[in-house]
Amino acid sequence: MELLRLKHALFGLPPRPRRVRARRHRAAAALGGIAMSALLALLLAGTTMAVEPSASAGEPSPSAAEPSPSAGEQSASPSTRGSPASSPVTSPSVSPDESGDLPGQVLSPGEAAPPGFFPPAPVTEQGRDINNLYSIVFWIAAAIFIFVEALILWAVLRYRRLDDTLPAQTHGNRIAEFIWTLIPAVIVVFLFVASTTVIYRVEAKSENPDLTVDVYGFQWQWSFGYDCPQEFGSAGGFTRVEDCGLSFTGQGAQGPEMVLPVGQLVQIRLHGSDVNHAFYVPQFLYKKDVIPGQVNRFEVRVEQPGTYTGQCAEFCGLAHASMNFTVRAVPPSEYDAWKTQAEQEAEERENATPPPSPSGDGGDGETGATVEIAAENASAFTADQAEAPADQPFSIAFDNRDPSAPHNVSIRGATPEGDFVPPIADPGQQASYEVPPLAAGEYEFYCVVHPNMQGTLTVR
Amino acid sequence: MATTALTPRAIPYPRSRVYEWLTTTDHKKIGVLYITSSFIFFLLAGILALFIRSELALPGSQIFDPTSGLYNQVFTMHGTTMIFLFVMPMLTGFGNYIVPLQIGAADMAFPRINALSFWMIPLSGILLFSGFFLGGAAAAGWTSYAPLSAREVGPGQDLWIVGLILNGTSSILGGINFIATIFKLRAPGMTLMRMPLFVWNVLVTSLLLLFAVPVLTSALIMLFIDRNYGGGFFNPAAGGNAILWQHVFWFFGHPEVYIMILPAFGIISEVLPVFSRKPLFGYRAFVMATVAIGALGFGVWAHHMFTTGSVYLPFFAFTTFLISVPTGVKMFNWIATMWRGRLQFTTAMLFAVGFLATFLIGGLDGAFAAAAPVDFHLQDTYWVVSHLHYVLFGGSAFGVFAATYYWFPKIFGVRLDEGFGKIHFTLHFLGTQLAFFPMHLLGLDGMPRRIQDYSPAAGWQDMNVLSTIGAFMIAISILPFLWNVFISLRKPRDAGDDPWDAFTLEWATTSPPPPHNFDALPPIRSERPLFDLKYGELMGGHAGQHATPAEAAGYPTEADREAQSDPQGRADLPTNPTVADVEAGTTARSEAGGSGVIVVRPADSEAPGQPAAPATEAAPETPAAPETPATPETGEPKLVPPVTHAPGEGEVTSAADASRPSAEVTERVRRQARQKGTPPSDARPEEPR
Ligand code: HEM
Ligand SMILES: [Cu+2]
Ligand SMILES: [Cu+2]
Repeated sequence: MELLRLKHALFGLPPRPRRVRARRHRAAAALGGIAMSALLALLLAGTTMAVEPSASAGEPSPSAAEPSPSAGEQSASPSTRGSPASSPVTSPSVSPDESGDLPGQVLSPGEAAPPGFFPPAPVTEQGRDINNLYSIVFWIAAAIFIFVEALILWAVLRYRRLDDTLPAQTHGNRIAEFIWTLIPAVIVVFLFVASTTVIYRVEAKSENPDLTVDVYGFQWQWSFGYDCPQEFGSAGGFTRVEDCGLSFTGQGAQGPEMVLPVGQLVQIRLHGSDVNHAFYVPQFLYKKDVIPGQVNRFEVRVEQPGTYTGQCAEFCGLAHASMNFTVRAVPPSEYDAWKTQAEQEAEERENATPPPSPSGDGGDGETGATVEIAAENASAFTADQAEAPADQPFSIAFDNRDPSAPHNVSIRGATPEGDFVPPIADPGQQASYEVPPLAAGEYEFYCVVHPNMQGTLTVR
Repeated sequence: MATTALTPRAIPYPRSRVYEWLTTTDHKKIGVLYITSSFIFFLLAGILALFIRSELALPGSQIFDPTSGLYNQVFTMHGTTMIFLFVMPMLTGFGNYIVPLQIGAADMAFPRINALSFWMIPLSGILLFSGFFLGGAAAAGWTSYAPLSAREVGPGQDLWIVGLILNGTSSILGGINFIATIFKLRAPGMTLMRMPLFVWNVLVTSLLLLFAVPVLTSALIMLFIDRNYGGGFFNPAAGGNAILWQHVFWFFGHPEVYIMILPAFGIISEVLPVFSRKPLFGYRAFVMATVAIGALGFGVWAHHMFTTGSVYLPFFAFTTFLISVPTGVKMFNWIATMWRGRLQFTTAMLFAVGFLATFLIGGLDGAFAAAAPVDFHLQDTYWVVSHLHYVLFGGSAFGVFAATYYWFPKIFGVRLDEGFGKIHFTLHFLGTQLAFFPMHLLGLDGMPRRIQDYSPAAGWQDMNVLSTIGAFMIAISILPFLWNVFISLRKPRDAGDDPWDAFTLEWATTSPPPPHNFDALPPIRSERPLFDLKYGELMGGHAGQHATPAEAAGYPTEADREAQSDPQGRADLPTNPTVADVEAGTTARSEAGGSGVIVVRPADSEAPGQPAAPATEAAPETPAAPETPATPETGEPKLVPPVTHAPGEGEVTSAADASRPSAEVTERVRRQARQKGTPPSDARPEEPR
């Protein structure tokens, strides 16, 4: 009985009335049909359009098979993830515009293709896992989408009202309903299993990563630290990235650059102290939140050398949109060279400029005039107007009362080379900056870490 | 028997209309107040959305000064307004108007609390928006994540907190009111499993409100303490926890998503059957799916927190996947409802079908977001903005417009113009796809949400331009709608009681209904009492299945019908056709509530369940006998032959057939009954008065 009704409900077609009366209904049906087909066409066109660029971007370039000569060298330390040498590492000599099909825009190998139906080509081992999972979900969803939209379209076109007879009053069918409960349930369980395997692979943490980089996110800038103290691994242990062997604090909307060795397992630890942020590199297909009071960590093994843009993904206030950074992945030998050089430069800088004097009560008045400027948060200086005497050196007593962000006071166009950019004062620190003589006029002063912090310095 | 024959002798006394509306406790007036005020907030928030889209169309700052933070205020207020001042009160408004009517009640259980709930809404709206004039509205997003929201300076965030506490109180009171109404005021015969699906959805929504909103309120109070009294709930430096807010907020926030979509599901479940001329396919499955969604909705909150690094991913991935099953069941049952129906594409139906087509995308998106690793990539990008608009705009807002076109004649006594309606729908549907689909692609490419600006080198401009064009298309689509409402309200209120030939009780009374709603109620033996009344239970009403013996015994007798044969009389006992009626080929009709509901039988049809074969030229058009003959003895719903409407209809140019006021059909049938024996094709209806 049920089966008969199922057949009746699903396959039996109502007899077609010969005379068509409801012209307006047809027009409406046609309208609905057109709208729906437009939607289908839009999506299908999008799919084909999108599949092509991302397919070509995903294909390894001719030289991809040949592993970078030095890729395996640095991986002496035990790793849970197999030897990096076996991972496909593209040599950096891939021609930059290979995957670029946007006129006038040069794309480096891993750089973002134009928006399509698939994520950007992944450049990390973990990203590949995520990308594969995405593809599985995408094709299943696409199949369901086309199937269901086709059913709707069919119903709209086939069963539009042609006469006023009452159709059979079918109240339901247990078998049919059971089937369309069961099939989604099976699909869903399959997807769950697939996702869980990927969760465990992507979220795995090794005891001994090849490299650990600490990230400090604050309103609205990033600092990256290499060779950081061991205690940074625990929630209360983090102090400041300046305590690390090597550290970089971003400047301006461009933010800092993180250099990573290709093929090595890198653990990234995320620290915050003001509000939530998120460390997001689209080409890693991965983001993780930066949350005050806890250390979040994740691991990546970058497989493709290149420069990848990253951005804060968790809304964090005024200048959230300009909280950028870049990740540059280079072969390990290049990484070592970079690091030695960066350490040298840091040392030179340390010797060249005395660290901002933590002078207790801001400025001794020896050089003449003192301008007092303070910051309490990263939105603005406490005052956006300041005055200084013309044509004589003066000092700025800067009081950084902000508990979480470093700041400084830079002056645009104050030196022949460009801006006057003194060292950055850590959270809670005071600094005294000696400014060379300035001609009378109005100057813009700003924080080099936070371009949104601005003021006017009137020199007369 | 189902009788609500109250005829209150209200003594009218003069009152100004403004005073009347300000002090009303009539659920219908309050419903209209809810609906209009929400619509105004929809327009406001829509204008904010246009600002957002204009800003984002091109890289660089078009409208907002990036150092002012105004953009952040605008998207925060857009999201907050759309959710708390548009979707929620709008659906509550329809619930207010329709639920008591659909269950045959005279009003809500607590009419004064009902009025109180309503008046809190505009007040909370004023508080929220006043921030713009008091130095900056809230700017931490509609989710207002702490610690950011605890640190933002200025009055905007505090106004936001107070406004939402007020708004939430209104929701809680409203929820209690609905629960009491639905459990206590149903008409005799209206068992739980005979309630219209809209009522079921409002019931589950109210339960969700009752459990979820107090959690939000507590979070808001904690935040208020943190901001103003030196608390440290969300400040790790003071021993608090920075993600506590997210747990508490999403424990409210995810059920909130279902609070916003379930009533829309209910609306679609009302509109599709009526314009398919079939009962809802799988009523029980719908009820179970609704309840399951409501229950599971409390177990998925942390899927909004996959990237926080502090939730157990597999568990929340699993529950999230799981909740898609009942939603999928609904989708298939809706399509099965249309299957083999006689679909009539009124604007309401177009919006309902548009809902299916669009919501499907929002639903499938859920599978991506539930796969936690994929969510690592998608979380907090424009992909999420796309997903939430496919659900809230393609879902809830389409539902709201379907409801508007569907119930407008009941509320105002006049139908909205179909021509303008179709223009509205076409622009609205295409605009929605154009505005929101490109956001999927932008998000996949890595464009974060809540950013005022993006780099020209990112390659995001083209899609953003498309999206902005779509947004303006949606905005333009509202103009024909507004014009439509305007001209329709100036037309004569001639829609009649039952313009759609619908199934549920709200159509059994006048349009608009009298203050007490019903003079009399038809018997309720299925979830489609009015259908049963008009087409007879033998035509597929499953009263036979569910009727209690008492009810079965309570069928109207010959005497009952005799008693109400006075055409002007207001019958206490409306009637269903008896087998004898049908055999005799007579037409039973009820004057109940002046609704003119009728049972149509061809004058010369044969025994019940046998193919109707009128001996007229219309005969060739009559569909052949069904494969399955009726089997009265099993008591199963029968697959009966399609009933021919009043014979002679073939001659009537059909354009407005089904939408013609039922009074006319009544008239036709009455005359036909009088002229029993004459060829039905001669029984031409006269034009309605
Ligand atoms: C006219 C149609 C609409 C357009 C063009 C539109 C556009 C947008 C855009 C572009 C955003 C992202 C803002 C950003 O992240 O920077 C947004 C956010 C949002 N929209 Fe809409 N929207 C529309 C209608 C709706 C409706 C009807 C609802 C709800 C029912 C809604 C709810 C939201 C919510 C909750 C957010 C998130 C706000 C936040 O991030 O705090 N929108 N909308
Ligand atoms: Cu941010
Ligand atoms: Cu700064």
